[in-house]
Amino acid sequence: MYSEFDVMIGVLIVGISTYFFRVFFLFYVPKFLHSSKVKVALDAIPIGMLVALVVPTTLLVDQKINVARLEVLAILFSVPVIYHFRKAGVGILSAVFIYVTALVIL
Amino acid sequence: MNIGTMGTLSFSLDKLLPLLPSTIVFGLIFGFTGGTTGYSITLISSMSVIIFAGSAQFVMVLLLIDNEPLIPIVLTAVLINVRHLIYGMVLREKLELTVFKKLIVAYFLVDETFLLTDIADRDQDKNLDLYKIFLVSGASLWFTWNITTILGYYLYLMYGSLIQFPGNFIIAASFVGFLVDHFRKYPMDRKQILGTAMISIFLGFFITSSTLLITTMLSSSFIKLYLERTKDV
Repeated sequence: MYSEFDVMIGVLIVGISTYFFRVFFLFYVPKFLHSSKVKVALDAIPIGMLVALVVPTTLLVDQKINVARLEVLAILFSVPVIYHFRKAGVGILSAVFIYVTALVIL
Repeated sequence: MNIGTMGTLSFSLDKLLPLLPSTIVFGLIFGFTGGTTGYSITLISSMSVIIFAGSAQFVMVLLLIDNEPLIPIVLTAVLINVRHLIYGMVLREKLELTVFKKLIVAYFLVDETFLLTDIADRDQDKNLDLYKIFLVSGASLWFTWNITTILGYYLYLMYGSLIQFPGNFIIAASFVGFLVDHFRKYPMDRKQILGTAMISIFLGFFITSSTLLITTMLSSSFIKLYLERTKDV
């Protein structure tokens, strides 16, 4: 276990670098990144982020497809629930509920 | 039609409310998991204040539990947050900001506020003040995230290890609602979503974590450009 001071230094490094990443392009974007194609490409980023945070994190473990897990069941079963209620926030509530319920039953 | 300050506030809260359950659950679980590391509440909650980025914080805590070397832990967390470079580039197009406002926006620029601003930007007929929406949602999320981190930590101290959630599950569960809702609401983006999903699974066999995140986001851009091009032909 590391000393709290060492870990805090690490936290500060991550925090400062994160802030730098967030602020950099807010201040300056090179001219070649101003075209309409770049705008179309940038518009696709949020969708890419959502897919990246949901699909491979659900289906893959250690770079192999592994669907025989409660987590996969919980995420998959929450999809029709989200569709039915038409509310994005229902996602985590239903997934966690299904996961905990399955854990208790099994 | 300009819907004014109250309308902007109402819109912000309406779009923010679906995010709050995931932030609350994610925050509680982060605080709870932080408690298992054996580090103090000051250190764990300082992560939420200083970094304010759930996935990077979670990865740091999980790697600390596994007793990984500190430098790779820090590097991994830094790499996971490289995607925020792109968020700044996208937001710059949507928000007209002074220097001071940019410095404020940068601190609150997380996945959720980025997503909310994107959703608000698509509602162009309401002529929304995107900066105010960003600020309201960012401040609300920050407050919720930090309070639930502390609560989660104390929950662990009180109840011990009653239940453990796999880290990836919480991340996926937090965002699946937005992905499915977007798929439902925007049929024109469905091909892009499905194409990006297939590519991300394929890439996932070879790369992981932050690299996979960034390459999937870039793949999504290429797919969108390709689909626009085939639409024009």
